[in-house]
Amino acid sequence: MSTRRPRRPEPLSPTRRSFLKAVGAAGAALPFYQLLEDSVARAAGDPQPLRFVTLYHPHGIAAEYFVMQAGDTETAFDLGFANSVLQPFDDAGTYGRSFKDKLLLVEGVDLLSNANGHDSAGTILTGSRIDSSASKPLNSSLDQFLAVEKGLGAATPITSLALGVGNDGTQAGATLSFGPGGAPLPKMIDPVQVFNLLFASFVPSNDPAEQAAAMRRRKLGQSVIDFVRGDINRLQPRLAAPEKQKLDQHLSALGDLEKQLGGIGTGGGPTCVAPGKPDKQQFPSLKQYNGGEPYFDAITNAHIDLIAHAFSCDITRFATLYMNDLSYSGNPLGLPADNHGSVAHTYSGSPVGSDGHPSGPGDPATWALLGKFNRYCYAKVALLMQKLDQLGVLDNVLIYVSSDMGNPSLHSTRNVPTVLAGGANGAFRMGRRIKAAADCPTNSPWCGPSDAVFNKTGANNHLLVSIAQAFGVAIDTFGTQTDTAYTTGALAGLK
Amino acid sequence: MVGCVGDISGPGGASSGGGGGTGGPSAGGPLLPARIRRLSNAEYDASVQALLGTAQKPSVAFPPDSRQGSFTLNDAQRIDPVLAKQLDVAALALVSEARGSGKLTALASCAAGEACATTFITGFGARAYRRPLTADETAALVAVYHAGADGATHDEGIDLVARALLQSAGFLYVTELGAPGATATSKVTLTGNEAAAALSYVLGGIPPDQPLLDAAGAGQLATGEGREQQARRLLALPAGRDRVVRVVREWFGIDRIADTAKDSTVYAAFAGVKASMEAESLRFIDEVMSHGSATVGELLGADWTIADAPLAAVYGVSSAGSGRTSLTGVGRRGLLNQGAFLSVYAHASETAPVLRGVATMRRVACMALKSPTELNIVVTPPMPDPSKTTRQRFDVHATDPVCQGCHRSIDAFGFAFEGYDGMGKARTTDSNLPIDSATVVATGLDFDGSYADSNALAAALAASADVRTCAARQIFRASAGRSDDSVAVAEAAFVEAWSALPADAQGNLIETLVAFVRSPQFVERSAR
Repeated sequence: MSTRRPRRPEPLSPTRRSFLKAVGAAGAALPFYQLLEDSVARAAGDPQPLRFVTLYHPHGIAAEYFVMQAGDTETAFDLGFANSVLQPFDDAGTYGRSFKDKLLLVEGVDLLSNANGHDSAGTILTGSRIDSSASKPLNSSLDQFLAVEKGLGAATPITSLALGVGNDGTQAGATLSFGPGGAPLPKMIDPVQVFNLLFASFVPSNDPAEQAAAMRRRKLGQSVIDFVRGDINRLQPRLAAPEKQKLDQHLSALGDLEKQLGGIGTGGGPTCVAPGKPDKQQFPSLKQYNGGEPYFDAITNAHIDLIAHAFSCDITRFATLYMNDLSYSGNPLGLPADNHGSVAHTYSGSPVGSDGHPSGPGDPATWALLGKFNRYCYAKVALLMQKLDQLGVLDNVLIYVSSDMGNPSLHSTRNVPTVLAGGANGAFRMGRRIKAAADCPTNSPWCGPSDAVFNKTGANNHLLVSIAQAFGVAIDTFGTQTDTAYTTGALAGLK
Repeated sequence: MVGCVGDISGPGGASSGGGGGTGGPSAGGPLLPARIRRLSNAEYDASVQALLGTAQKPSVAFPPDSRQGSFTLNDAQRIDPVLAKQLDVAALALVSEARGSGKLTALASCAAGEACATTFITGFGARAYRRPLTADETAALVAVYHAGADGATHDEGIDLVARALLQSAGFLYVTELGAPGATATSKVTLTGNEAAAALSYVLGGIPPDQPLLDAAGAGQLATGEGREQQARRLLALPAGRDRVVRVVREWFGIDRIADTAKDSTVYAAFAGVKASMEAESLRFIDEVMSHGSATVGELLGADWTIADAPLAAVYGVSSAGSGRTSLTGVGRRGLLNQGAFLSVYAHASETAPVLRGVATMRRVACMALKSPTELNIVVTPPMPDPSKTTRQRFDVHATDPVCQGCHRSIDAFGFAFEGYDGMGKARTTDSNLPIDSATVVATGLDFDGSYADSNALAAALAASADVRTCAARQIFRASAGRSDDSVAVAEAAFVEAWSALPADAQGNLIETLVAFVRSPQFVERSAR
């Protein structure tokens, strides 16, 4: 099945080159093409592989402006209502088209982290309870499960990508991607570093001298990797089993390094173009609490641009992006300087989106404040969709967007806002809004996950099972919970 | 609440459970297990600096260290794809710099060719690996040399060898395995070179220097006396002083001041004194360790600090510059009442009695304390309420039957600090109501009592034998690089050995460190 749409040219910067086209078309490029022989080539008519990106946005949701509004149905709904946080998904003026038909909004999803909302980002892709003493979940995340353990990332130069904005911490609340046993994967926070990883060594050239230099770089790199691998193998037999695991992980990392030497994949999307190198001047500081905050917006945009291009060039098929807030005075949203304390914590919700705790009518002024931030985050998702669309691969991508909380002032991990987007290669029926079954029966409205009456079908584990199945991985259970009813079975209504 | 607060027997002890641990039968034996340990970021920087004479700190671009029990020297560091890439990038840059500076030329200053390369490999390689290379390792590196040099230049071969060594397992992992080929019995003993590396990284955060390698070569590190002699030498070096300061900062968690921010509409002055707070704790700890009593008692109870003028102004005293600034006039005492601790353990716009209480209990008293998650409790933080003080809002803990078991203890510590706001500035009112920092601590430990505020509490903690025992545990965790339940028996064995020290040495952190490196535990490991 070809899902290609006619190419929508975006304004290309002068540095952008449609280099894969050149590789395919020009005989002069043959020597470089041979550099690429290790990577998996796909013939032009083959179906596009499915890509998967997960985005995290902080501080939960102003549910009032997220949930289905009066009159909405599963397939006929309005995203442009007053204060709608979802408005960017139906904003052709800004993003070139509406993405309503590429959207599947799911209400009532629970992140069963058994932890304070701040530690629950680690549950988004793991479906695991968080071990708070070690600040980590108990199993690998779905992106790593698919890319590494199921080998779906093996064909691309970069197996998977974990990016962050401002926060390079690896505790459960700051991480989406985890290896076996819940070992956190570090995030890259510098777009320049990300560009260098993804594109710098891949940009081919028709200059024979540059081709020779690339060939030599590859040879030297391979020699180093071979030596380090041998060094590890000499040490390995002297170690007990738990120690061997450390070296096994190192060997696996070397495998990734080796793939990167191989060069760019040749099975890219219809319009694989190298992005321009991010301009370091746009983010002179990177880190949260260390002067990075004013540049988070630019960093987020740069990361999104890199992910879109990496997907379109088939450099990787798996990415996570941990977004951040805009906690600095003078932020473009006009939010209080401390988003966490003065926006999220002051949110006073109505019964909509409540997790059963007794709730008054709430304070709409606080909804609007949080909603403004939510809309900003969804605008970044829309920006990613726009870029993927322009690069011709939106239909071949599944985007999963979540926060670590529902109601942030309650730190509730129930009714977490869940957005699926992209074409997902047709695995899910998009253009809809659905709701998971209510957590609690009406006669026990305050029930919790430890209660027998609690509905087990709203756990995000089921969504993770569904996504794995969309990738053709036949599993029926994912994650670590006390009751397998939480972890087993796909989420209803996605197909 | 059963299982909330235990005694100070630490993880795996007979108490009601460690800080998140189960302990029990799987808690290992009295010896630490044989292992490899990846260099922490700071150790990597110090090691490449020693090898290549660079001033670079490449690890600023690396992912932050994994922490175990808040310490960076530990068993949890791994090499994942992101770090592997960054290690490669760093190695290329370091080699390029060392070539440009003439360092590599000087290190391989012989006539080009394989013989010269082999000389470089055995010499530079041994420094990188902190032990002589085996024949296999040398041969593998000669192959690397040829990959770089053949068809190119000798220098390119040397460069490639250096680049490979900087990414090798031999360089990146400190081994605690004993002699290769030794038949595994129940126990292995570190080789002299391994003992040298352990001493230099644990006490100085640096690779072994020549005197240490000489001592190892002479077999002197096999004895407790020999190790003590080297330990005292290392601890007196600038690197040793820095390392001890690092250990104390990580122990109290105050190194996190670098990643702490405040709501500028509430704490407008914070951004201007954050660097001063960081500098204060660095200088204060160094002063106590190098020119003071080097005791946990002084760290917690000192009635002086070293504060620059902006921070002294926050404290309401006048700065004595780089000398000791007296705090007797304002009553502030010790690390727990300094800006770094009070800011780290507070929220962006208000104080955090729970964070301050938990930090004091876990870090200063080594009290076992389970998290709400472990106890399966849903946390609902108190809502903001401008008509109440923070203490009044958090006092809901004392009335909620689910919370009160733990929070009676936690809040008793945390409320004592209410006289200091979220950035550590003294205050007398909160929400226009008078501050109440009086507290009654009832834990079963020797510092139980009624205290007017956190300074009175600090004085009691400073005099406590139970706190001294906790300090010994923390020194063990920081130095052994293990704090998980699987080594609880080894920790208990160390505490028992430490308790044989003369009473006046027990609170002394230097003497506690020396006791650790003297003990057979430092060089003996359980085999696989």
